[in-house]
Amino acid sequence: MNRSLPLVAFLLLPVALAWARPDDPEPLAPERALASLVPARCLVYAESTTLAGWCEEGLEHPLVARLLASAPGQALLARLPLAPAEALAQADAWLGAPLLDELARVSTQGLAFALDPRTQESLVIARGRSADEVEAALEHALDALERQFGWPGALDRPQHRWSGADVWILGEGAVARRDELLVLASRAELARAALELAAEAEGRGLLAGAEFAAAHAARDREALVWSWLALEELEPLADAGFRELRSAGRTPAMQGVFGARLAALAEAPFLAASARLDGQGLALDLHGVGGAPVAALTPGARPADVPATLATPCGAEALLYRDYARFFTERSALFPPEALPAFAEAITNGALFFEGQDLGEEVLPHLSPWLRVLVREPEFASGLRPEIPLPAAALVAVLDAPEAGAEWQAAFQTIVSIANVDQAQKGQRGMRLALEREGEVDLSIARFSAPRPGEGVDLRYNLEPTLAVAGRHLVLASHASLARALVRELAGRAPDGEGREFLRLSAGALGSVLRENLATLVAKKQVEEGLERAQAEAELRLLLEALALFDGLELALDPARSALRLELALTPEAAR
Amino acid sequence: MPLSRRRFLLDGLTLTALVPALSAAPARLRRAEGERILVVLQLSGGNDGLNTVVPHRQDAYGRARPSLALKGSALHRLDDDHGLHPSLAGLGRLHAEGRLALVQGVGVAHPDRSHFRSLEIWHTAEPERPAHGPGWLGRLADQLAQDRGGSMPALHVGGGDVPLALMGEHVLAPSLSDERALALEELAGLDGARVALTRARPGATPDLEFLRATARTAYRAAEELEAVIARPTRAAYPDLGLAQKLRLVARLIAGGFDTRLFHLSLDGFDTHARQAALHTALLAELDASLAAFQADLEQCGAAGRVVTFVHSEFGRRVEENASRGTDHGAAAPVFLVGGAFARGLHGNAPDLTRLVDGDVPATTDFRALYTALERDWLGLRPSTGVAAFDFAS
Amino acid sequence: MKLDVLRPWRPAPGEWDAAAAAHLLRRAGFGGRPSERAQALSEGPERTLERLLAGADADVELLRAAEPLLASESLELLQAWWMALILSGRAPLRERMALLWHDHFATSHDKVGDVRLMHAQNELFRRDGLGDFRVLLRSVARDPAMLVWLDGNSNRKGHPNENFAREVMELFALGIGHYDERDIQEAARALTGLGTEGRATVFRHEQHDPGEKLLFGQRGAFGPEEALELVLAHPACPRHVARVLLAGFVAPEPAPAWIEELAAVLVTEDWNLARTLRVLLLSQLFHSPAARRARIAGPVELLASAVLALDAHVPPRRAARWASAMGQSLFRPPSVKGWDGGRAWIHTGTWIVRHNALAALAAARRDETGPLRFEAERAFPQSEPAPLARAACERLLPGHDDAEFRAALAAAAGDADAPARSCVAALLTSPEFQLY
Repeated sequence: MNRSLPLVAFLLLPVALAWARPDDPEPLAPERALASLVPARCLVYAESTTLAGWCEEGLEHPLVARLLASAPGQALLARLPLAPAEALAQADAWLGAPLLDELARVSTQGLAFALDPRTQESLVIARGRSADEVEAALEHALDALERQFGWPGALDRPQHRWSGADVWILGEGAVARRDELLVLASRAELARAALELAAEAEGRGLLAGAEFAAAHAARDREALVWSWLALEELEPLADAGFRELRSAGRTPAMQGVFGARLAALAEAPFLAASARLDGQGLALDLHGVGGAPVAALTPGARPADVPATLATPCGAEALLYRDYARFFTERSALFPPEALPAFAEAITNGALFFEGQDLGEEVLPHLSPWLRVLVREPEFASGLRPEIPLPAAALVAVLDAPEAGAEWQAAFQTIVSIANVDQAQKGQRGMRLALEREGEVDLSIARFSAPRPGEGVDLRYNLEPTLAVAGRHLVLASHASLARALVRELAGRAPDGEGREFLRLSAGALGSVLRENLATLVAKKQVEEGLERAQAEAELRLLLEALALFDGLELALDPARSALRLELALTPEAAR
Repeated sequence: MPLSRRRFLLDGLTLTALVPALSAAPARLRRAEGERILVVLQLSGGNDGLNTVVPHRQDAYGRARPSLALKGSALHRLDDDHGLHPSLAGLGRLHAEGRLALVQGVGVAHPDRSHFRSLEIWHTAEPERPAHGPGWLGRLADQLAQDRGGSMPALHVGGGDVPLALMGEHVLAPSLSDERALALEELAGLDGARVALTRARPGATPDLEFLRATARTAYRAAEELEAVIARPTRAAYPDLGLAQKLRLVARLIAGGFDTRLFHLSLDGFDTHARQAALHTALLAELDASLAAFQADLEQCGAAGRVVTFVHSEFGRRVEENASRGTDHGAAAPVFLVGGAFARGLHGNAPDLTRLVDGDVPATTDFRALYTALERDWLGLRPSTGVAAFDFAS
Repeated sequence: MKLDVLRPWRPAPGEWDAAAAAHLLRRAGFGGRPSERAQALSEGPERTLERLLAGADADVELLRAAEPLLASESLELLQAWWMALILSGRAPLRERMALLWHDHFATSHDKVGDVRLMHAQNELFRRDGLGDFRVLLRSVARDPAMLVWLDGNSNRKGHPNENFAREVMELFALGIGHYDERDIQEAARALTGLGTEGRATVFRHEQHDPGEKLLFGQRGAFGPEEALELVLAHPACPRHVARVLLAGFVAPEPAPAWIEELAAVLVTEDWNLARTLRVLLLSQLFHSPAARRARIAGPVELLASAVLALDAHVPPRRAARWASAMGQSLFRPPSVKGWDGGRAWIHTGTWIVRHNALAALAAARRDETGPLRFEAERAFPQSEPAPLARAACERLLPGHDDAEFRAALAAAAGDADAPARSCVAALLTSPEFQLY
């Protein structure tokens, strides 16, 4: 018996050891999401799985290198006190190891950031390739800190061990490591909470929220960053402007300008956003989770015709769904009482223009809610090219019957006449009304009388409001030449059956407008900001160079949900 | 220059000095007890007087306005023949309580249908020639500044430019778009410095003393306004533009500010088409705002010292037009809210069988009302020689 | 010709000091930057005045910058443009004269409604402002903006509009009391036909009253040119011009004796404004202590002198807005009388605006118009309050020696985080600084 005691003790040793460290948890499951380590009180969350790749390439990443080599990039570099390469070299020297490589190593399996705005505490969680690599990287960092602050050896050993992790306390914050998991927090308690969640195999963290879990599951894994904001809970903490924006969702202005889906984005309880950045450009996805747009005003709420698609490219083009008829007919149900007097005023003014008809009941219902808005360069008549030439804009809508166009022509003419009376009372010139033809179509055109030769063509000559009805398409343009072009393009075309809201801006078109007016813009800068001409011109040329990097911007609204996709495309040259 | 001056000749240099009483007296900021206040509220666009004070018993009314005519039963009774528009419940109550006066048929002898010209006439009290004189309230403000050395005798409440009515020869009334309008830009140490630097000191030139005195007044006005704003309001005001402006006026009055002339406007009355809904909405705003204002003044005991004069630049035609609206007309009723000065219905009721050019002719010159307010209510020199309107008759 | 108050000032050693130099630069321009003041101090009054009169290096690029902006029909841009010219400090006397004539021949965009015309009139003042006054008056009488402003087109044979004739006599050339109503009527008849077509001045013979007129005792079938010559020949004319110059450069209410003397100088110098100003700005009267700080600063000169003295940079658009809020909206004088000036600039509302604008300048507070640069610590590196107050006074109020004043400034600096800014703010917003 006495001889077996040491054997029993030896056999019991592992049990004893296991007992002595009961809180040593299991290693983190490979598929465990970093979000499940974040306490639910964090209202702001962002994560990236691709950052490591970027870090590995560093300044050699093709997109980064290209942007830095471009003219605006060079101008930016010139303003920095230190070149990026030098800065990196200095950082590497400080760390005692290549900075970007170390960052890549600790974030191979993901990097997450979280913030609790109520307490202003922030949390960073990184998951590296292996425990050894992360341990080594952390050691480099802690050694660098020791050197920086003159604490030799102070950080060699962790001060605590929480949930199986080694913890160093730095001031109020903490940095902890467990296996390949690294946790940094601005307050030690937050780090502890994260580590406890990590230790629990069933720890849910942010994933406890149903909306978060669903959005997280559906996220774009190739995105550079995926983020989440609990907007509703953030509201009481934000400034008045933000609160105003969120509460404005149901106003006629928001619905009328931005449309039901974008307005829903502004008032959704949660926002999920992801950004993808690659050689082609930047794509940003914004998804309002948990909200719902006003059903009656959402695209597809009622079947309606879409203005025909136009082949000719435009500087800007948008297709919008705005059911203004419903704004009026259902206004007491849709909008708060304070908004209603404005409708009364609109009806009064509308009656003035439409020969006594009720704008909401009798005029607007004949118009389809799908509106096409476009911007193109107009063609000015000789001698009438303004010294400050601006692009022309047009609105194309669909009437339910071609006959309805006549009352719009009449209304247009009435508006011009009334405007002329108003101008005359102020002692200013009005516009002449002309009726011209383009093929089979009548155009009502309002024009200012031509200036005398040598008197200069002022800004107002950009404006030649024109109304035309081509078949069932109603065209309202700011310049007759654009109206004519559209009438020709729409000849014989029927409206489309389906549509999807979008907005497209061509950077090249914007650039050419700026270039056309460069002298004016330079003078404006000189005069308003008090700059020397050379400096003003340099700043504007820089803007042009920056624009030249891009092809354009496209905003698309998902027809199924409150999601906005924003794509900023780089030019083929820039994308090479 | 009507400001009295004494010219000194000193070594060939001419100096001007204001009468010592004016320059030495500390510029008054607080209104003396019992001093009366006039609030002028302009309804811009041409209010339809006929649908405001409605002569519903006249057959011609219903005939001329097939769609716009208001039924007698819906109106708030003024007398057997006249009622107030359904939206004007508050004013109806004030009338019943003897705190409202209405004068019908007020206008100019030769009506001008242009908004700009008509407003110019009302603002300068000069119907005859192209006006380039100061505004009628501006002239009063000049008197107040000269006689009493007040700091801000007149004030425009609202955004935009100061209206012509408030432009005096010497006084330019400031515009308070909101409560922050007189807010001072601050830097550390500046508040102490300005007390030291604006102190009256012997040996200063008259100009320097004038500058110091103005500065002291201005800083006190800013501080007083700051204090006035900080006080909570007692009465409840609706969330309407006009109501908020009147609320600011009430606070200034309650706070004892020395301003005695206020000018505000409510826009949108140019109802050429589909008048019904818009006019209803506008009058509702007017009514709710005035009622709240009056109630507030009652609560702080100032109601006996304030008269609110409500007018428009012209009325509208008797016959409605084809767009269910009305066009520019001539005479219209004016209101004097407050009761301390006048009450009841005055002036000649419009006789719709005796129109001039399709309009209700003016039987009371608006300048008669101005004189009554200037001389009898405010105790100042009237702007014109037109005899004061007699409220006793 | 015997000069009395206008005899040349011969400063004793030390009399041409910082205060004297600042006074000259302030009145003949907008005060100038510290470097310009130092130069003036070393060069003496004659040399400094020659430099000002020569008016070289006006900022050509900035002058030309107006061209592309005229098509924008934006008055705000034109206001910013003129403010930019003033704040550049490059041609101070030329801009000072342009401002003086803009006030004297007051024309407002509110009625003219055309930015190109206002710009053309402004260029006229810049071009002819220091030359022969007779040429200036003749040019102004034909200026399209002026003709629109004073209803030239409504002045027709059989329906004379007296507006133009009245203002030419009452305000521009003679002053009240030197003509009677008959003269105005006859002059109006002589001016008939002078009008505008589009933006050009035209003379319409068919609208001109060709009959005989009796003007200032002379008979003849006078046209516009002859009528103007008769006005210019009137003995009250040089006195009126002299009064304008004295009020603008010396003190608001000039004595009759000074007016007589300067009028005589004007005539002797063949109506040349530059030479007349040379006499005035080098005279005993101008440099006497009573002429210093004898005016209340108008908004534009207040802002410009502060910005230049501090070597600061304010976006001209912002400065133009400040000036408008203070009651001097460039190109928009309140009436044909121009801006009353003097104490009329100062009341509660405008005092608060002055305070806020100058405090924002001292604090370099930016807004949506762009950055405002004022390097307070560089301009005033003193760390102790008392030397700081002294330095600020020397820079901004040279010659003002008031211990109590300095003590107040030092107290402002004492507790502040940015003592230089607080000290400068206290000085700029003080009543003393409003005196020009």
